[in-house]
Amino acid sequence: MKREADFLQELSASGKAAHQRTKMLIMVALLFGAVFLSFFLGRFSITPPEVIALFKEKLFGIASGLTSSESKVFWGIRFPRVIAACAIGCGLSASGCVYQGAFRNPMVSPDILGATAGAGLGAAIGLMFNFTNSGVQITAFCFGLAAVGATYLFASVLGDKGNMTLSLVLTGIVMGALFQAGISLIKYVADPYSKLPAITFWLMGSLASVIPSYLPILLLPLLIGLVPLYLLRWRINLLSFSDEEASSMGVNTSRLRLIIVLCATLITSCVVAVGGIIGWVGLVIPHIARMIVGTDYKYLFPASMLLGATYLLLVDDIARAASSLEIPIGILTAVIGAPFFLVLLHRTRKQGQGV
Amino acid sequence: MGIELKALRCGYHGRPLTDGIDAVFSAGQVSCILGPNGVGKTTLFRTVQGNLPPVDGQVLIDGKPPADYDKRMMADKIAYVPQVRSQPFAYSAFNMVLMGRVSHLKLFSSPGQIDREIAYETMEQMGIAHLAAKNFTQLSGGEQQMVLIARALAQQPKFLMMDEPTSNLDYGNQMQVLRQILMLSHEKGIGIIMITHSPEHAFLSSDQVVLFFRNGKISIGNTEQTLTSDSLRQAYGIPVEICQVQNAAGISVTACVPFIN
Repeated sequence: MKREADFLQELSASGKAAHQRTKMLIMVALLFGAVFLSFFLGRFSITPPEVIALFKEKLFGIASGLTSSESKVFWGIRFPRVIAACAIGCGLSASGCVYQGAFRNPMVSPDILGATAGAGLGAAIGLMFNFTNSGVQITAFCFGLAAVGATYLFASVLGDKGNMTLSLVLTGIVMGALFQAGISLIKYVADPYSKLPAITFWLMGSLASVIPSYLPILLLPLLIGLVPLYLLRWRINLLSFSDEEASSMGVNTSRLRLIIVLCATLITSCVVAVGGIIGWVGLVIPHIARMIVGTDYKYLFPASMLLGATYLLLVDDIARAASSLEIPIGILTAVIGAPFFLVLLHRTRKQGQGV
Repeated sequence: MGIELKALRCGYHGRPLTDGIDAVFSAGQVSCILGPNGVGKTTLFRTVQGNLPPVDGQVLIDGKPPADYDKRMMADKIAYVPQVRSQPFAYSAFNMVLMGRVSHLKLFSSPGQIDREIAYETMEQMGIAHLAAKNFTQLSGGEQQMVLIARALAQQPKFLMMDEPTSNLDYGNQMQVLRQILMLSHEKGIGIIMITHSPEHAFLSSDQVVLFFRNGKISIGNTEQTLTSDSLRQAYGIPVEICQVQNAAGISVTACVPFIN
């Protein structure tokens, strides 16, 4: 009787794991499909065989027979942009997903602690003082971290040590508002003919200016943030209990939350620094991932990463290929994300799962 | 060995809520903590678990104060069963129980086959294996309470500290939870400390009672001697009568009847 139950249990547990693995494989396949599709989409047309030839040339030194300008457009513009879109989508979605767990609230998005507003102010300052492109990025990155640092500092001074969740969210709102005011000030004093449009476009989010030299600035902090989160992903589940409950189970909740917030902030800051303010991805994609693989972060976290990368890549394809004029990607993600989120809300309410 | 309170006074900001408490909670024993709202029962729980420093006196868990334990070592000694609360995310009952294994896992690892087996066996023992695949948020209050107990047991602690495990449950579920509590203490040798608002539950299950009074006084002893109509009247400020009730099979239980004036 007991052996039989064990057997059934093993079967169902591994059966479920296999089921989840299949879903992951499908998501990986979708991402690769989207990447491949994105390589030859755009005003400068490259055919699939040409893409393959270009990769052969790069990897194995087999001559592609394509002109150097084609090769330059591909390696200098399209390839870095595709990679950046994947990285940014992945980062926004991953950080949104873990912020939601760390703050026990599925309505939280990556800008909850003021990272986005901070990075926005940094970029605005950089653009106003004519910094180089990478200079703007680094300023944005530092201001994003500084905003979250300030939020954390004030929250720990003002709030209850044992349960910082609420004080973090509230000070995050305050810091966000403060840095937004800073952005408005910069826009107000910026030269309306040259600087103001640049700042405005940056704030709307765009991947149009991504060049190969951006990639290390984007990918390195992204990896540094993602790896610990990936390793800790199962443990993030425990934070959905109250701090006293989780710590009675043997979890050092304040340390775990600090690591998670640090990593997610690092990710958000580097992503915003390169792509500008791209909203809704970090809120909507983890919800979709939750509908597909469930609430267990062991699967939810990688699923969010994969879906986020695929989603932002496809949205960026629309941004650059849908019309002759590039559409700011932040506008697109809001136009797609907001109504989609309403549909999600309606569905989850109907299923009675809570959101 | 066990949990020992030595002239313990707990409270916040250096202000004690109660007189000194001297008590020993040992393995295989059920202890009930009773008293009106706001006298410091939950504060006592927090202090024993090391979440709040004592104002005066000390707590000794297997001879050492809670401050000497890190979170994981503490989790090996004491598991906490909270009151049922709403959860923001809909985990399956099985995953909820599986999370009880966290104190046995390394920082970067997730539960393996052995952990899953322990979680499932615990659910079987509690008679809730059939709920394994269901969403925790969609279970009834009684089922949720049983899942939380199973989660605490999957932690494999020496003691269970339960905060009103029978509140919000219907009559049937209350008795089912009490049956589990008796089974755990008598057969598994787990020490149980629970806060309850039903004196009857103490009579049904408890070896020892800690009764809090409004004026900060504490009375500790075996159930029959500690819970009398006199002491309950003093504690709650209402007249209470205690009587014996027998069912058809001749089994007698103690009932407490409060009077409204």
